[in-house]
Amino acid sequence: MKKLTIILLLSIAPLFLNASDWKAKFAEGNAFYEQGDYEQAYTTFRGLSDAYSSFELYFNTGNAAYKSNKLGEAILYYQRAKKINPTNEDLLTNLDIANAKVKDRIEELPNLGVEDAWGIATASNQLNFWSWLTIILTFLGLGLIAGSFWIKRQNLRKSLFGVGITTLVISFGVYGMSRATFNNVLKNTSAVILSPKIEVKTGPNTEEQNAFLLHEGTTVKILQRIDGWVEIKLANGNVGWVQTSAIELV
Amino acid sequence: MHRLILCFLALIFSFLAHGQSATCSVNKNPVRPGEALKITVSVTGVNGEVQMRQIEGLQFLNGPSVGEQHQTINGKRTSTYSYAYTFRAQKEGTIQIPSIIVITGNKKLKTDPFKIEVSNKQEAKSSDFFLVLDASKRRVNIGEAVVLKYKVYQRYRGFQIEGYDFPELKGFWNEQVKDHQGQWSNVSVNGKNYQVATLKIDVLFPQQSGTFTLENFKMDAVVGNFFNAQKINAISAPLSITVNPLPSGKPDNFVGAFKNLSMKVEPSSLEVKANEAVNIKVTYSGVGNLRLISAPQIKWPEDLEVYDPEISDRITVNSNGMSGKRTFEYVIIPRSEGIYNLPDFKTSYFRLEGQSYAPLSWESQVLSATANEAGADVNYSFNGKTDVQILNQDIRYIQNIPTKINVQGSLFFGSLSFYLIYASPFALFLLSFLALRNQKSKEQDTTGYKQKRAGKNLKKWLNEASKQQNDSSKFYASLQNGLENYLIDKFFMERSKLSRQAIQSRIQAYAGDDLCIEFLTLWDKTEMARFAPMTSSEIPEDLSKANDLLSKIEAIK
Repeated sequence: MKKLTIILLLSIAPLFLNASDWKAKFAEGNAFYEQGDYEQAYTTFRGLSDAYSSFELYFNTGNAAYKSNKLGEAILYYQRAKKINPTNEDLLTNLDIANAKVKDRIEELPNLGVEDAWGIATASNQLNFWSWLTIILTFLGLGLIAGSFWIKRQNLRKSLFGVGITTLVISFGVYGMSRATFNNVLKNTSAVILSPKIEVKTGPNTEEQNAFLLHEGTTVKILQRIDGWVEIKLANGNVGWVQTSAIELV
Repeated sequence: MHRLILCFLALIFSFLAHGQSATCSVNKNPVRPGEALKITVSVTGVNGEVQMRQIEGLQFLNGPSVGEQHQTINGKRTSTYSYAYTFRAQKEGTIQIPSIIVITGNKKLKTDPFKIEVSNKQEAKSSDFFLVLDASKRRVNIGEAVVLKYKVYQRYRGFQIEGYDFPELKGFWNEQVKDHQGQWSNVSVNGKNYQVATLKIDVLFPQQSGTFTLENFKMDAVVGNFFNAQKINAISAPLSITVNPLPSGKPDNFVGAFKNLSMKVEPSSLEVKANEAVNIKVTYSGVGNLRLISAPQIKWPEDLEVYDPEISDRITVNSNGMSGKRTFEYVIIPRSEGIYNLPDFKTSYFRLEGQSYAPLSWESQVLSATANEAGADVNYSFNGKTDVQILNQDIRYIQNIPTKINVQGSLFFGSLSFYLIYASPFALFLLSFLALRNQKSKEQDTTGYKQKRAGKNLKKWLNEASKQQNDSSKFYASLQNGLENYLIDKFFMERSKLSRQAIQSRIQAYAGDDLCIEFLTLWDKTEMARFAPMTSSEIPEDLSKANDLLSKIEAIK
């Protein structure tokens, strides 16, 4: 039992420990940005983004990219930030401004409110919440059930057992939410075009016909991947193939 | 004129024959060889049988077609029956139409004979007024220009045109020479002096192959002075134009037949900034029907914004035909930076002078668009974006340093620590469940449990007894209770059968003689204490004896 506790504590430890040098780097990036040296700020934030992930980091990387005229990268990082926190108003504003500069104007198909709600519920920043809630509810549910076994009074015992079972069932549901959020974080379902302009083909081959043209900064959905090619879907429902090198997964 | 005379004669005859008469007339005279003519025999007052005869020089085609006409004059009803026969004039010369006999009941009516002239000469040539259609060519290719002049010849004094009709120009694209002004000039035809004027000049471009006949160029005029005016009219001889089809092997992208044609393309610039317009002029120049040239079908790169071309013409139409140039001006706008391939273009025309197809083409060119200066978003409104006003806003400021950051790829969920923590309540639950089951099983196994607990229970009783050392009766009562329960629990004895013999035999078997005697001594003492008060002086000794005895019995395994 003691050994288990030690293992547990050791495995949780990295969650609470921070390498403090990322803070210095972050401050450096912010300083570059404040001085108007957007290129330097972008390089700094970009370097940090490769090792770390955080809403603020992605937001600032996007801002620096936008200010140094890298529209594609700006939208890429805004989208990454949106994946962590889809409701931040600053982010949504900046993303709108950046998107207005994108050459391709795509009529979005009507989006059901349910999808938005699901997106918010399964955003990256909810993952730890769901994870801990799963654990707490599991503790509570199993505790209540175990406790009910020890109680002699029939009525109290029954109601404790009922509450315990209910809590346990809810905990399974919350585990499901955690899993969905986890999948959402890991799976790259969308991508941003980084080439200035790209011909989208009707099949995964350069010989295929051109389906349509896309420009830097357009956000697309990923349908499937076949060696070096990605099938993309636009917000208006159009589908085509591009080479993986032309896009960057969000 | 003939018809007038005939009618007049018919009128006289009708009087003679009491209103019965027969006349013969022809619809045209003179006629040209090969031309059809209609000979009509009319009978007035009575119906009869027309005895049509073979006429030399005319070929019978069909007839008769019968007509009937009724008229009432002064209350007297007159009926006229007509029989029309169609013939074809066979050769030049004069044809004598004989008297034709009509048998009406008891009478024979006779028509007057007359003559028809069959002549290839133009009808009016011999006259003092005639019209001529003068074509520059009578055998052409499709699309080849034919200059058609409408000429008037006359030798009258005081000639005034009252009205005219021009032929229908079916099958031709027609361009009138606009600035033509007809003027009379002197010319001699067959030794006679005429005044000639060209009324109008058309440039015709045949659009389909075949033979086309232009006819019915007509004119009405008045000659003479005010007091002695005379109306005259004339009609031109038909003019046939044979149009040959173009030879086979017509290429795609063909613009038409021309005497000569050239094409050039001139972009205003090939190096521009994104969103800047480029003008591309495509000019066709040559001799022929330039108006039929349509905009070249150029396959522009898909990401260029291309507007429909503006067409401008500098075309002259004169008595030599049509010439000049037609320009298509395209406006294209590269909407983003990059390299655009302006495609090559191939077309062709039919070269009338060589009677062959000649190609026209230009080579592909490269248009490069460089980036617009940052912030110069002037042209974005061009895109038709609705949310343009948002461009004037700046993005929101950067975020402060966060308190926490995640190492890329490290997530709590799915990590080992998560699963360990998540598994711990299940493990604890399992442990608690096992503990519960252990407890339950012990409780159910009563005899074994009680046996194990017997020593402890006795100890409890002994403790109880030790507290009551002042009161000997209570002390021994407690001691006896303890011993009694001990016996029951340890040796499975029943309370009702706790006789001295039974105790002796059980203890002896379990612990041997010495301990048995000790136990029985203690037991007897407690029995006695129930009936007679005992001195308290022996209490501490008995307590230690009891403890000693208990530990000795419990030590036996």
